[in-house]
Amino acid sequence: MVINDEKIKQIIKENGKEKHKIKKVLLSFLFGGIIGLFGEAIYVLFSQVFFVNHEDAIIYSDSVIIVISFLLTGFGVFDKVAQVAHSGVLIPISGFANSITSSAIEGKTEGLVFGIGGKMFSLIGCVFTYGIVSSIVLGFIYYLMQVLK
Amino acid sequence: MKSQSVKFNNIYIDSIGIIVSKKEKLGPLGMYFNHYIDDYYFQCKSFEKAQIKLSNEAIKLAISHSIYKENEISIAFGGDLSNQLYSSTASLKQYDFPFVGLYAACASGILSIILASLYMQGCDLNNALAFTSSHVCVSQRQFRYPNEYASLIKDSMTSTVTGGCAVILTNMKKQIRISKCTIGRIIDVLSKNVNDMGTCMAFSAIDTLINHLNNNNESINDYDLFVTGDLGDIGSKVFIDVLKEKGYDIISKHIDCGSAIYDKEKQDIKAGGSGPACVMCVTFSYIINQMMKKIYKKVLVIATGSLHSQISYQQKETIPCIAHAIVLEVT
Repeated sequence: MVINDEKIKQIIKENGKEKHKIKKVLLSFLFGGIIGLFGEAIYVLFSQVFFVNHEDAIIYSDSVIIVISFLLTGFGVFDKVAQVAHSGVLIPISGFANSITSSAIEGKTEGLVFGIGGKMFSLIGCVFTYGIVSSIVLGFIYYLMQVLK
Repeated sequence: MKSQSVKFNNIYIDSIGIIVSKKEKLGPLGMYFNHYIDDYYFQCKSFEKAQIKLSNEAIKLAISHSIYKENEISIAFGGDLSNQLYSSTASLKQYDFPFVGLYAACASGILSIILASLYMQGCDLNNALAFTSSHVCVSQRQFRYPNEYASLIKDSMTSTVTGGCAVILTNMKKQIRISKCTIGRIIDVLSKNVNDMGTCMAFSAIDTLINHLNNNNESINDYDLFVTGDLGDIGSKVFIDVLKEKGYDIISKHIDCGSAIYDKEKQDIKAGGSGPACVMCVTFSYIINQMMKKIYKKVLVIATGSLHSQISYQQKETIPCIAHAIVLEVT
């Protein structure tokens, strides 16, 4: 039986509303900023102390954050941190690392092929798909601009 | 009259087997759970295997407390949340009694009891087994995201109860009887929010409650307590408020198993517990205990289930809900 009632719809809408939005946004901003600052510190460390060139130092700082996220996910801490930090840890590359690791851990029981191999990119597959699609589109636009010049 | 409500003559609760995880044991109702597991793996290789073991242990416990031996059980009814009811089916591998698998999401346990009672009454059997189980990590994996994925837990979300519960019914006189049942209708209030199932399920619980009272010509004063399955805090509020508008004031007589099973402050739980084991574990431990002490004499248990799947949710379909009710009475 379908009940199509405006009053019920209102209740559903009211209960589905996110609470403490501003607090969550501020926390996300703070934690996202901390990760950014941490990445910058590693970049400075590599470029100033170890004299690594600019491009490599950026890759190193990304890698350090990814490895830390891998480890935190594996030890079961990351999802608890995310409940406090919200998008602050999900939007940076740490969120990407978490999606891959959590899917891989989850697939462990189904074996190496269908489990870890098949499921590793189940959540993050969309990033690759649309990453490639958008680079094709942008590449085409860039080509057109070059031709029209 | 629709055959939605049925009266039972001689259905009694013979024995109960309940096993939960440490999280439920540490909750406010912990003292009513005698058996619990320390970790979610339960010495198994996967969470799925752990759920099968939970279900199996619950059945073993129920049989060990029962007046019937393992080979005397006539039939088993059971259900759970896992794909194709694998946990329930696999947990009966070692037994040789007939089995019917049922799915009504979080109402599977109560539906099993209803069908076991109907079957006993219809076929004149002297016993039947009804069981269910659920595991937080299995459900999380099946209905939401991988366990370690940092998905944000919304305030309206419930956490699946880890546990198994088996009940053996008999036709010999015992302290608690199952006197009536009402099978619910599918109610769809056009909600698409799977993070707030309590609100949608509340309306099916209301429908079943009103139908039950009307079909049996009863009023809310005939009952000492109304137990709902897993509406959580948000769903319970809707349930009480909407019923009040319709002229049923049950605020002082209502317990929601999902809200009761966890300590929300200490245990990091948002809206409460859910899952087929939630209503079964709370009803057949705490509520039965209170009934034995004659604090409650007649209790209406309404188990609610949200019948969506991961595919239906991704295709943005609405969530149909169902609620089944049984009446427990002290003899």
